[in-house]
Amino acid sequence: MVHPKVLRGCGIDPDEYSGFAFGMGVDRITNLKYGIDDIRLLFENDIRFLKQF
Amino acid sequence: MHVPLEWLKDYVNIDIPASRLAELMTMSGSKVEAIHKINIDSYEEEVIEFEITSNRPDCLSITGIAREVSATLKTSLKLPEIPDSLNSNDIDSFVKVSVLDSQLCPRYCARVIKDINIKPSPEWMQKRLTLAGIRPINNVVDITNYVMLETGQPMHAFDLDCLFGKTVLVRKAYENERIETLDGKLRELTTDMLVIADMDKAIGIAGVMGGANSEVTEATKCILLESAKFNQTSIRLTSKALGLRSDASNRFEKGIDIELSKKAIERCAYLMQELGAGAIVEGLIDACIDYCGNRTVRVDCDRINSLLGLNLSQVQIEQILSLLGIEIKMNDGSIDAIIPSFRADIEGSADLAEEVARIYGYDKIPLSTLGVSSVRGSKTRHQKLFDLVKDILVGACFYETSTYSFSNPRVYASIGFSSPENYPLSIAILNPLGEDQSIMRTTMIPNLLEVLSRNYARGQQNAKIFEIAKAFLPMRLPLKELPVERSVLSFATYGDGADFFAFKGIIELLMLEIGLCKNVSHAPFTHPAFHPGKTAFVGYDGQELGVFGEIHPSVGTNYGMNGLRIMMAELDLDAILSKVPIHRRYAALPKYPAVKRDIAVTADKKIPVESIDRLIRELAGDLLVEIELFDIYEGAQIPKGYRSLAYSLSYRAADRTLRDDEVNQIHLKVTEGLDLKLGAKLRQ
Repeated sequence: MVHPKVLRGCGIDPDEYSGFAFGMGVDRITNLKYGIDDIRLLFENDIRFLKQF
Repeated sequence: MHVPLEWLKDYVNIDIPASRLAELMTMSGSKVEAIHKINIDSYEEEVIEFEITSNRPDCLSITGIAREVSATLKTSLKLPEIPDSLNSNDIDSFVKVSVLDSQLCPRYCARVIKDINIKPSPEWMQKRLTLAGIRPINNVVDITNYVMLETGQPMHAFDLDCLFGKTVLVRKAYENERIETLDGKLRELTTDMLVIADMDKAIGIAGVMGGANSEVTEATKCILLESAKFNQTSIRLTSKALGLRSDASNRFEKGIDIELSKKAIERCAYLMQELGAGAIVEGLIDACIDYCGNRTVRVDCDRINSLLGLNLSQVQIEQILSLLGIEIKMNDGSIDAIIPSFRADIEGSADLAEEVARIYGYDKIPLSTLGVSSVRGSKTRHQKLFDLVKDILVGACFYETSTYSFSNPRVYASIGFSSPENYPLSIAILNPLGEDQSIMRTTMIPNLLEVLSRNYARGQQNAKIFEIAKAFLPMRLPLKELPVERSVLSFATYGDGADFFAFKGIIELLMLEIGLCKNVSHAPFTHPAFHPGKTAFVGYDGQELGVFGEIHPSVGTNYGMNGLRIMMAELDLDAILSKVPIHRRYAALPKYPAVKRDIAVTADKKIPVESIDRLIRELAGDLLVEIELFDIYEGAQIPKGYRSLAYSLSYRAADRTLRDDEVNQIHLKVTEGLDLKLGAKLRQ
């Protein structure tokens, strides 16, 4: 949940609004979904890898 | 923070194995990095390494962690007993303390221990210190470190006989003042740094490190114990400026509980006497500013429940908070939470809600879906056009790559720039991870070459790759405004079908498919990365688009692709997309038949086909609806330096069937004009 100090700092009244935020590593989720064992593969651009998707 | 399990158990009941404790502590907010198993005296001791966030300085102590453990496990906390000291003036004959800057030093407690007997500290204490990562030195130093780890309050011991004038001054450093610290280094001080001094000189850098001139040694007979609270910011700035960090400065810069200074010094004095390091001199010097006792935060139970999505009763909330040392006064629907002095991080209802949530258990909060209706998003026109470009290229069998935005200034030499004066202006990164990532890329050419190179080295015979990514072009250096970020479309091939005209065809295919129906223009171009004579500058409707061609052979060699023909294009995608019409308009299908004429002309090789195309269109006018070059021929029957170009022209009128004689007239105009203007003669 966004801290009221942060909301206030952005000009939003924390008594009126609450906020939540989340984040995830896109490359990590990708690895999990496709069972990729080395995150560097996503950036090596080996065609034999790219071909699979 | 390294916490030996055996020591922790002095303060809290723990019946579960370390691994289970680690899981539970991590889930309640004290993340466990690792459990270390260390062999000491043939016992295997476990040390739990916690990662303490900077908003929880109260956890930089074993007792602080113990409090967290007790709240998490719901077991009882047993903090060490600290005997009250006697009120006495005895200490006054040993030392006086004068705090000259109470802003920077809100509290300074001092006690004296006489008849000092320096020897190693007891085995159990040495063991605990070692496991916690602090090297044992002698009983006096060890006890101060022990109390720091136990309570979180950094302690310091000065050799009292080294103090000139029996007075301790807490003051800012003088201009050009220097001190040799305990580590043997001479430090230059600035006037905003707080020092501990005697009447003559500085004897320590407050909160950071003691001075060598007042160090406790084998010869020490009498010590002054210091237990203080220093201004966080001042300690942090001093520590940074001197490049000097210590266990003490780390704690001071995060904020010390002002009540702790007195408690810790009593504990320290007690241990000094208990363990035979010396004899307590009665009396405590306590220079303390006025401070508010208890801080109260009022919070609505409803508010807590609504923030968390729970339905806890006031009693439940009260129970959870009291586990953490936060006492409650009920007050109709709301509660007044009395915040203990060691929780400076709790400021409002959100902070209390967080305490409730983490002790109650985040995993116990029931799942639900987002019930509110919200604004639905979709892709912008720009994003959809990007997707379209990608689809077109994927359809043409290109693979999309993803390369890094940071680059190496040396790539410019690798891609053919002759000297650093010619390199494109690029933005340098402060604190780069390495030279390889020290500038922001201005071109995708090296990126694609690296990908091709890697694939080639791994035995890939054919490659077709593309990437849409940003290039970062500074308007001037040093940066005075944000750089221009252009979306660049770059693509490259080697292997089958990697030739100039096939590649040009890809560009034309792309233009056509995204809805650009005017002609793409090409002009010969030079670029250091490309083969002279096989490079073209691409334009559309007066807009510059970019460059494509065959990569220069020596550049190919630089990338380990000796002798390989590589085609590459780098185009300004923002420019291309700015030309895409918002709406496609339907063009009516022709009602009347076309008249086709073929024409072959012999022209100087140096004349680009595009010029001939353009001239033909100009001369033929609106009735020319299609022009197609279907053959280029050089060889027998054609003079040297010339080539034969064969075109198929289609003429059509929108409102009538064209008669042969009409067409012939135009056709004559074309052939005559070609001859006249470009010396392109009709082929006999």
